[in-house]
Amino acid sequence: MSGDVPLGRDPGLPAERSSLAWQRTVLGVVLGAVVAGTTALHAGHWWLATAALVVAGCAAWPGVLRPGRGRTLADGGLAGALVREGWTFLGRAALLVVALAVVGVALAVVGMLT
Amino acid sequence: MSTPDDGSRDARTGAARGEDAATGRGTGPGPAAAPAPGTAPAPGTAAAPAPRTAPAPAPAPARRPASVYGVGTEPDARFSLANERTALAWLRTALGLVAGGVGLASLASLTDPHVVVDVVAALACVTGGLVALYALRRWRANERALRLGRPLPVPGALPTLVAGVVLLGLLLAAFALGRAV
Repeated sequence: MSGDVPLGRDPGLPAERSSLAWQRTVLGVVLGAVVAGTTALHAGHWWLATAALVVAGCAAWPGVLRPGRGRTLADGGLAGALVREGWTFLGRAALLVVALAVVGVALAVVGMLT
Repeated sequence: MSTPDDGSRDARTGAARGEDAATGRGTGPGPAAAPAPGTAPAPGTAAAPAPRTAPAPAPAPARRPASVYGVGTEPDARFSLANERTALAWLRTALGLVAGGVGLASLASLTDPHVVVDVVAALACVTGGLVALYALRRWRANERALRLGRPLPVPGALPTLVAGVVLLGLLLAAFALGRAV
């Protein structure tokens, strides 16, 4: 069993699991923003649709949110320890979720008023 | 154990100390005569790998936030990665709430008194935003605890989150029942 894992790598593959967790999160943000944008477009609020599109673009654009940066899967990610900008990317991901929440609240409020 | 060690040392330094190696073999491998010449290079050879085992005092570029990385000692990277995954899981929980709110907001127009669904949608989105901020706060507290060797903080927001989700569910259920009767 241990022969499946190259020497020097953690058999629990924490780096890979972390990278996948990042990908799931980013995918969730993008999908949520796309749903919000579609809803806003259907409701005719192009400015809300634009805001949702910006959120989706920021989440999908690796320059803004780059999961797994500085971590090489070749060495299991442990040699390089944590991503140096881990906090920055975590903060940006949280900010994108908050931005999406603001878009959602705006959608609900606009729905209430109309 | 010491015999093969001495043998390997002799093999490595044999070229430089041809006569010592020759006398060592001449006296025989069994008796402790071999360590006699071996004791001189032993400190030298033992000191040589020492710098290798203590590799570079890590250039350690300044990591943010300083309130986390400026305290304690570096924990096992696996623990930090697990903490990061936990924060991402909280973030996905927040995302689930926000996505649910957005979905409800998009469906609200199909309901008759759509204000109720809109209110629930707005509440879900606000809760999701708060949970996203809590994810950051919790990551920070966990990482500090890991670095300082303290017990991990209690996930205090979990009961509140559960209560909030139950409340949202009850609101929607009440709305659906009200529509049915």
